[in-house]
Amino acid sequence: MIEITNLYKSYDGYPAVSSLSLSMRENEVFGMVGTNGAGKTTLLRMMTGVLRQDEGVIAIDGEPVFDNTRAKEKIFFIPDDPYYFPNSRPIDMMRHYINIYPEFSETRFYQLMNDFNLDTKRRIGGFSKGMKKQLSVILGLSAKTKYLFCDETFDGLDPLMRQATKSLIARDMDERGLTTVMTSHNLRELEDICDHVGILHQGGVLLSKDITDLKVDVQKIQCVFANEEEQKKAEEALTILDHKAQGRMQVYTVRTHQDDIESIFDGIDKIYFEILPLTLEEIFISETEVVGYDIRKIIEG
Amino acid sequence: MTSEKLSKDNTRNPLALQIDMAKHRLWLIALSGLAFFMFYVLIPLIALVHSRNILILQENAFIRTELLNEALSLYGLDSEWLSLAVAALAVLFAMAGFSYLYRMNALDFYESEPFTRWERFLHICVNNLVIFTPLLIASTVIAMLFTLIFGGLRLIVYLEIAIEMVRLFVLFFAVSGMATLAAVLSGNLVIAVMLMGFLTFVELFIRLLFTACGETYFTTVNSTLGLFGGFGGLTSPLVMDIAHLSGKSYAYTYYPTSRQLGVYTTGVAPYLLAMALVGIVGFVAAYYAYKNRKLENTGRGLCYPFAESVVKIIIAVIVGVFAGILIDSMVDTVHKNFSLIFFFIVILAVVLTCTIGEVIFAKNIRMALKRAWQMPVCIVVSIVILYGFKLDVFGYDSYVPDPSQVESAAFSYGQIYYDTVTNETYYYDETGDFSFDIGSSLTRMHLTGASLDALCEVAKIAMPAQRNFVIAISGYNEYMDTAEYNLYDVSVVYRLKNGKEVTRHMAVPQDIDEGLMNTIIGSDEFKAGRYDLDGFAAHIENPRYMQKSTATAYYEYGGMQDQTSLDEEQALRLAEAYRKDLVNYDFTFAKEHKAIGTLNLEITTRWDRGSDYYSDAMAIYPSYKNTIKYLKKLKIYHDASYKADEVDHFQLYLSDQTGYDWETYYYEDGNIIEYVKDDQIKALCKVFCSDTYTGDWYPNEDEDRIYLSAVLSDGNDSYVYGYIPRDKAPAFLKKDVAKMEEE
Repeated sequence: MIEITNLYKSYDGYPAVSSLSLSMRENEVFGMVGTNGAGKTTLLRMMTGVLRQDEGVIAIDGEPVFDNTRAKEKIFFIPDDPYYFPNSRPIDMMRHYINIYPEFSETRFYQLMNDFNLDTKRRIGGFSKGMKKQLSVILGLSAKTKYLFCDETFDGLDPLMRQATKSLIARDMDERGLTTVMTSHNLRELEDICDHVGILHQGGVLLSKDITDLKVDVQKIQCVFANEEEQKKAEEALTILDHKAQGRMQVYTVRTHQDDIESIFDGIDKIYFEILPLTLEEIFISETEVVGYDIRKIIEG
Repeated sequence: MTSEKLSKDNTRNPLALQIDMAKHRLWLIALSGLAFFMFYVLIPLIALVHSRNILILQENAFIRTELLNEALSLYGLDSEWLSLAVAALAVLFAMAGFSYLYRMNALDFYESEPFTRWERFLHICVNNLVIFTPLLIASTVIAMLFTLIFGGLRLIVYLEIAIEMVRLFVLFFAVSGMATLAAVLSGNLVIAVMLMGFLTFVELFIRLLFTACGETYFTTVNSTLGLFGGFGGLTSPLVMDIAHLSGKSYAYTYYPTSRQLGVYTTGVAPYLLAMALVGIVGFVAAYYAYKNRKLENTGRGLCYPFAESVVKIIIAVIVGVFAGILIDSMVDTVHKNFSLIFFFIVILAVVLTCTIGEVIFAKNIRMALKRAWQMPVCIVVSIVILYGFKLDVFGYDSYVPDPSQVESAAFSYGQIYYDTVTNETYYYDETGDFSFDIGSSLTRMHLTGASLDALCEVAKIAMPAQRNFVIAISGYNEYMDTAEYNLYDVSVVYRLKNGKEVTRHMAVPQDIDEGLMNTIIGSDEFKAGRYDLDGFAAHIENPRYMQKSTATAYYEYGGMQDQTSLDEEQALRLAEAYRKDLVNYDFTFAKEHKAIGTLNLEITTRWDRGSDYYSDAMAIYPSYKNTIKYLKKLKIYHDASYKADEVDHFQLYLSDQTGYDWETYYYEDGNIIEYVKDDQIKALCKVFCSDTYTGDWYPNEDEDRIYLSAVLSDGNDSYVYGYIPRDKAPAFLKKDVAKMEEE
């Protein structure tokens, strides 16, 4: 488990991360989204032990990370701009990591390289940006660490690779209880893989919730009422987060359980009624508008 | 399958990690290998083969010995080129090892790996040694092999090569420590290299600064303040190495003996220990800087803001002080207490340095005025230092120790060089015996008791006289002689009881109390130092030394010189004759009598390595009957005056433009008048005074002279330069000179 408590980090007096507290459970995928300068990479670097926090605690399985070999052995960090030894080949990087990570699997490495159609003996310098990222993911998964930290890893991968990578991560979670923390600019990117999502903004956590909880709690309703009285009756019974009207078609985003919605609308005279699936983006927009932030600016960048 | 490289308790195999690290530094290994190949294989092989071919052509009977000597010059003690190469490699290794600190992606890679900072630091530093040491050892083995092939088996030679290997290893270690510190303090490679330069030379620059201040503002400074003289204490390893190499305390010998190596090892051990200590301090400081380094400071100048301030302030003060010295020297305000331009230049220099420094650190011109408060601090410090020297706040120019603080002293006519006062060069022959050759006889002069007391009294007069003289002549472009101000130019060395040595250069008025000067110059201690007849005799009486050496006496008279070789008996008799003549010599004698020639004694070894012994000029006076008698016996004595039949003609140069015309770059012969008639020659010979050494302490003669030269009729067209006092000049000469002066 990763516990982050009251984290503070500044650069030349400017706070990059401020009063940040988070909890990340094992065997889940934790997604962090935020604009440039939100503090995602800084947070990830502190969690990896690259940077030292000015205040606060980062504990991995109860142990502080910074300068701690035991904690760092459990982590593999895939940065946004992966580094490779000059003139090296994938096989050279593999041989390097074998000396570093106790559980590194050569077999898995070769298998994944084969699956992704990457040559182990070709100079990495000749790889495209996407191939380099693929290689970094392969090395990360082959290291078989308990935690995998990915900094905007999916950015730069083609849709096919993205799906393949997500599948691999999911499989590792199932097979060996991998815990993944990933950051992205793109909420949509994280939607189908993350169990828990947090939004960072100006160094702090704006929102942090399980996706399941979010989706259960927030629903989208599209309906046409028989008359205005019925509409009023329904609106009084629902906890409305957002309301849009397109002629007589009413679209509500409500924080009400689905069963409750159905029972409410059973007693309402309506011409049309449907509960629609919400995207993560829509849920977040709704949630944060309540708080007063225009989340669109954050998500859409 | 899991890794098979790990031990049971899952700790990483250090050897495997080192090998892995080395694999990713192949370019460094290749470069080092190339350097060692060049210095230990290629260049020596070419040199040795070439030398052997030459020796064979010369039919030299000692080929093996000569080649052994050649091999030692390439591989043996204190090789300057190897020192530079090793130091350069050390810097390269350190910078390469920690260069990952300058790129964020590399930092993410390395710092996210499961190592503590201590482990990472240790891996890199050890890896540098792991790569360098085997190359050094292998190269040393090759050196020994080549020496064996070309020079034959001689164990002491291999010991010398091995000692050199140790010296190079310590140098590498020490420079690595300092370079590592520079690397981890810096945010980028350019700053790291500049910081390495700063750490290497800052102490030297500060010493240069104070030396320059002293030589500019103090008037009693000796010609050098011993900047590199001896072992000056802890400084950067590179500077220590340069000081050690430039101040070698042994003469390069034909090939070493165990005794010589013992002396060398004893001499070099303090250097090596000091270097090793500096290296250790460097590594320890580097580790703490690395451990506490904020990695987010990657890319900026120095990773510790206080370090930026320290470096900037030190450099700004150094530049400010040098600017002050420069402007004072250029506009001749050295001894003026106030000068507007002086303040302007110092302030400008400091401001520019501070602003440029900030721009370099931040790589942003808008940051030029960051920490602007440091500028006035630097300005004030620079001016305080400069004025401290200008006003001689610590009394350098008035320092005269109490005789009770002095162990002994030395006193010299004329200016001496500091490093010839205390340094002694040692000669070794192939048997291992050694004798010493003194660079200056002052090392043998130990004035104590009454002569020391008198010297201190003289110094109290001579020190302010020197200061007044220097101030009086400042602003004059041409060289001004102390003699023109009726002063004697002298130097003194005080060997204090606390172990320190103090030298001063001062001016003794010619009308000083003769009693005081007689006490000094008439003393046996003074004469023993000034005329090292004991040292000369000691050389002559060493039969093993003299087997390969020749003694020579040179007698100079009126611009000419004659010489003769001396056998042992002749050398000792000549020295004894002079010793007898010295008995009545003192200040009064020297002041009242003009020398008629000088005697120099020399001893050279057979294999032509230059003079091993050379005496100071020993004046010959007309009353030195014993010496003159013996010189006549040796057939090298000549009167300073010339007879008419010895001179072919006299030459008088009429044009004062004679010589090299610096505007037209054309050598002008000028107008020469030659006096070739017998009566002219006779008349001129009567009054002609050849330029001759007048002897120490003879006062400046303030007479009007006509300078001309005599061409001798010795068949060699020898020239003798001299003069005729104008009031004694024949009429024809006066007429020609008057015409010249009119034109």
